[in-house]
Amino acid sequence: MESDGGLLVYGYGNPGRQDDGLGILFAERCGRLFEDRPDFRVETDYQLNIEDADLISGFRQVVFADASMAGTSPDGSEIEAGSRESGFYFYRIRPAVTVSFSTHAMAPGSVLALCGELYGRVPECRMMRISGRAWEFNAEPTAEALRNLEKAWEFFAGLTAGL
Amino acid sequence: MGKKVTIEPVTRVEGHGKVTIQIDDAGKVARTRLHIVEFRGFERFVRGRPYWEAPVLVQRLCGICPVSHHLAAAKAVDVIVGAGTGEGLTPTAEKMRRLMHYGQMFQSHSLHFFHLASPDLLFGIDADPAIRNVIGVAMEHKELAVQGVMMRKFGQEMIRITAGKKIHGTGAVPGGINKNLSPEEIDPWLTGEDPLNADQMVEWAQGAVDFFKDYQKKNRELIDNFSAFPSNHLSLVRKDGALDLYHGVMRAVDAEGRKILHDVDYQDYLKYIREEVRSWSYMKFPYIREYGKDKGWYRVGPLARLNTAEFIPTPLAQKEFEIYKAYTKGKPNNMCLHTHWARLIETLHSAEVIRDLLKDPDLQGTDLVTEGTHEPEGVGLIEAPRGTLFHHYAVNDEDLITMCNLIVSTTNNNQPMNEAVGIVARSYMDGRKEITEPMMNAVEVGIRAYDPCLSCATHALGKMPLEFEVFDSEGRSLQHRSR
Repeated sequence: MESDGGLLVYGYGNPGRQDDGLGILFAERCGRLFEDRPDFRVETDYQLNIEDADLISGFRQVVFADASMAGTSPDGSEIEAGSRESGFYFYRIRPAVTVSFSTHAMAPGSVLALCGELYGRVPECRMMRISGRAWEFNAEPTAEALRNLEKAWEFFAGLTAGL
Repeated sequence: MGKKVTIEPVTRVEGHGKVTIQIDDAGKVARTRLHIVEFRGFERFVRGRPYWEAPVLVQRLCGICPVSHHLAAAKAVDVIVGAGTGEGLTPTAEKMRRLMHYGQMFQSHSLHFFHLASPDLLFGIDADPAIRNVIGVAMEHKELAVQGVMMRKFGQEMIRITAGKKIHGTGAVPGGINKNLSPEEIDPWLTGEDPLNADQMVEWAQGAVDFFKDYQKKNRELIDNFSAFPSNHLSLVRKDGALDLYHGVMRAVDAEGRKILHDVDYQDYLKYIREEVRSWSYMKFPYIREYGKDKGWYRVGPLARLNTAEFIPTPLAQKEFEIYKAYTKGKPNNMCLHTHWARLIETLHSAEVIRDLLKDPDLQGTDLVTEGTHEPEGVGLIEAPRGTLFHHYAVNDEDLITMCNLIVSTTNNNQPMNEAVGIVARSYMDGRKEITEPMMNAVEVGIRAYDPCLSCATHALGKMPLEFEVFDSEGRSLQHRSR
């Protein structure tokens, strides 16, 4: 990854639902790593939505971080790192003009597409998807999820070490 | 051979929803149902936890409506700590909570209109799904889409400054609030950064109401008749009959406007509200006890609120309310798609309230918490964006929660949404040889008018594509597609 001073790491999910908070944990860890870097910013929220098109429009690069069901791989995506075994996938996201609405939330590709339509620019965007196991009303993530988080973190810290 | 049509789950709502439509051998819609898999695990989870955790714990229920749950739980806990029911808080605490709540209302209503409703209105129910979405709105109506984004963002900022943070906010505490607002925190939203300021929000909200009125004039046949049916309506109202989204007494009117629930104290809601269990759905069916299961069900949400309220206590919204009420000659409005009109009037009202609150010096007060004689249980009601939300907790001598009962807005609208599915399905599908995508979308439009949050209702995390199946009378699948 390259940076000219404008990287946003955006973790989302519900940390009150056990492993659903993996994306938030990842982003918070980035926040500690980047705390002295004004060109890096970290955001968290329950889910992505339309206002995030405005947010990401101000960055050159964006990394979304979210939890995923264990064992599922991102269909048709450009995987750059990670695997089912490593417990995370890191891959490129492009605008998805044809969206499949399912909720009051938006998919990352749809946020990119909306950003492109409204602001005429689209940041270079990647997804860090970390495998979770359980989604109960429990504040503590599972041990497996935390191991996956650690592996995802090792990869990302190495990737950004020279920036 | 009879067919059973299944739309599963409903798109653009959270959690699991499934529509089944039974078509008989003559091609007529014989039976319709909206099934929702409701998981009541949260009520069990919260038992044994200290009561003061409830306003934060309940935000785990749903990432879409966390503020509504936060405040409803806080209101219930206010009663437990002896701070009273709404009127007992300090001016600073009550106004901070109101700012948080009206911020939530503003962002949620804006999101619903621009993201969920406007694609159907701008492009038509039968338009290509590839364009009938918010990206399509951005491509064809860029100014409208930008306004939607900014309105949603403004409401989110009101929540952030009052709740302290976006996720698992801690602003409301038992008996009050944990922070006030300095003039420095408020100024940017009153005078600063264009276009995120309160005056601009009022102007855009007025524009959205005007847009809908104009659309309704040009599309009266659709807007007035689509899924219209008579029902009772229930909400909180202020004691003087004003629209109040944060606090009040429970009022219900019937389809003709006669009061059937007479401004009662919601601490006694169990005297008036019952929940029916039906074998085919996990989600309960609430009704007004005095009128029974068949005649006592009711609608909640924007349409219901503008039917129960006598006036709106802000000038621009009141002017629109008068136009809205004149359309039905003062009678309750039972037209499903007029819910969008009501929602936009509430959006305008919320913008006006936020603007007034931001100028109120009470937000700088330092008296934040009230406490009195503790009570063993408390009920908190609030008008969430989607309708009346009930939280009820009982605690023991160790201050641990022993009982929790929630009736969420979507559950309150269970029967009305089922009515809507039946009416729309019969209207669009009766006698048709093939079930098309626009027909399925029409059913969804009927449901979406209620802006259901199945995440609240089911406590589920699911986000799934729409599954569509046609079954024969013996349950064999004749057709299946997914989108």
